[in-house]
Amino acid sequence: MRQITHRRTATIALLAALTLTAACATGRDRGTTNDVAVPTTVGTGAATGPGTGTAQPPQGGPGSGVSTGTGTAGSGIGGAGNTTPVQSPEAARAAAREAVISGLQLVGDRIFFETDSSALSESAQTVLRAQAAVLRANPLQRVMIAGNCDERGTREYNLALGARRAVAVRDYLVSLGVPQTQMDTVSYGKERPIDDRPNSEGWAINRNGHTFVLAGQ
Amino acid sequence: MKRTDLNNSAHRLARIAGGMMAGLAASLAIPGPAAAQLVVDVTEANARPLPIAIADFAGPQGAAISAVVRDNLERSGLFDVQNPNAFLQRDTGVNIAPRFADWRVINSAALVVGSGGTSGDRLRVEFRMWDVLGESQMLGLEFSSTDENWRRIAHKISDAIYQRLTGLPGNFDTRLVFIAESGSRTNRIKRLAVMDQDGGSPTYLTTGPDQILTPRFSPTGQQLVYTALSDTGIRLYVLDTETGRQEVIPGLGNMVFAPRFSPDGQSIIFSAEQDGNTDILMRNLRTGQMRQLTDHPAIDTSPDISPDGRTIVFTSDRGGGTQIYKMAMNGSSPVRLTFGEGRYSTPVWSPGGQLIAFTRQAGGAFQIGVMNADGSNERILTSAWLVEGPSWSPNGRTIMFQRESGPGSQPELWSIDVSGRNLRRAPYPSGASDPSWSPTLD
Repeated sequence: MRQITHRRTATIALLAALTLTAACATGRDRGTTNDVAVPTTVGTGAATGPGTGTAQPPQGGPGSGVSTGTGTAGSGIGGAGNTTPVQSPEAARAAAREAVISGLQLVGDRIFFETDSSALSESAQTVLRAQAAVLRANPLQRVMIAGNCDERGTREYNLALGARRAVAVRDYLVSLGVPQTQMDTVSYGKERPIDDRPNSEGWAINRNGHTFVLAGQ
Repeated sequence: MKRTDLNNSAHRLARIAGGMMAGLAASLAIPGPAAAQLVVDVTEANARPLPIAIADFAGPQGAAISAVVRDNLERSGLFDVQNPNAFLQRDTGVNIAPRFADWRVINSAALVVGSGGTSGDRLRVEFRMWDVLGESQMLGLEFSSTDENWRRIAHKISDAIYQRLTGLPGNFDTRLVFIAESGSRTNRIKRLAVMDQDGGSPTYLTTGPDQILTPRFSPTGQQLVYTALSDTGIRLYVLDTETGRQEVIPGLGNMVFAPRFSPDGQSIIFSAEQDGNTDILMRNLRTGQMRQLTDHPAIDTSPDISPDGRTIVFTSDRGGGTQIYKMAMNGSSPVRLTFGEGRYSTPVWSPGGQLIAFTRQAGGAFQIGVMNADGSNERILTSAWLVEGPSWSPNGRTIMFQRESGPGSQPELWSIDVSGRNLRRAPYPSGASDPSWSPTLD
């Protein structure tokens, strides 16, 4: 037990460090239209998600990063030679939930679109690859994908466009191995902007696909 | 005015009874100087507003009723409603012949006098309209209803005056359903609301976190259909405003939106999304039968059925950009109607079926326009930072829409006549969007 406790403590420290860095990097100053600032400590284009940066990946867990079983809730590690007791289903679900929430916060939970488009840019695909890793590693937790539009379109058309965007994100994640049953889609049209600036910078932010855990799920 | 049966219900939609008043003409033995029939030409582009004097009605609610009538006629843009402070004759009365010379001095073309009285819980209002130059009575009517319905009596009087002078039915005894908006841009509260077309009696019909969108009246005005957006999807509701009963309209997935009633009120036509694709469906409210009318990977939305029930117009991006199309009631023969520069959407048939109103986006601005049913003769009525969602008045003369005057400003309800004149803000003081005009109430 002592050995495992030691590993778990190290992992907690690692998760905290990465999360703090991520919070600085993914703030409001997002810069260019279709870019999400992925924390540099975990590197961009990392197909297997965070944890492949400068910090030591958690021992014993699969290489897909901090959001896996070696996380804080002490869920089963899955590696060989482990003596962690089997978790209750509730605890496993809670662990997956926490892992997905923090994982999405880390890798970026929004990707951005061009006007009238649901096409996924290169940088959007990069972020989604990282999201896919988080989701594949935590199959117990489902997510909602919402498609959003800027205000420069009529209401009903934007509801439909938002749906196209949400499903474009979902389908790409499916192509990366995330089970379709793990994801729901919805459109918020232009009804739920996150940026109130009535200019092209604000509109660019509001044309997004948002992956998140619904309250209560 | 035909006599309608009295409905003793205290409900605010209680019917108004109307009848002809005994004319006073008999008491004016000498006919006045021959004068051209007093008429307001609604089609003439540069028509000067007709000066009309509306004296305070006598009796209970009299002053309030006169004020509503004055406000209605003023907002129509066709009348110069004269200030009662300028009147020379002060001893007006519904059973008193006017001193026409006093009215000619201040250039009144028409004069309205009236009075109200109660008997029991009934309010009875009578009024006369006089042709000042012709020195003859043009109109004499009497309305009665429950006392609380005095506003509707004022609207019926306004409609009668308007129709007598223009030949067209008025829009005054109507309601608007719309979305009352509040909160910040990033946390927008949207509630379903109804009010009289003059801003009277605003009523808020929903509470809770769902954002309400795009409501429409049924052809009788008794039902509403609307869209509710939540965290997990978009649902369609049909609400009966008399019974309060509400019904959910299912689609294909978790997104059902853009609803309108069919002209016979039996069906709802709407958009449903499935797997990222949006198509147009129709559901019979009585039988529950559902038909899918478009089956195309494009976005197909904002459908509207023509008043004769034979043609559907809708928005589609199947041609690449957002344009307006029409198709038959079974979904066959889709034909593109708009070919101008920009994006066209939100097509809405005029009540007579001659015109289609739409929203157009071009050059960074939004516009409200109208075109013929075949897409020809496109005419832009108004342009602004953001305008969308035109809705026709029942007499087809006025279009209500939502407007934001500039970047960051809140949406407001505005109206404009189909002639392009009389652009004005609707009498609702707060943020509002998605207006839809009721038919004339019974």
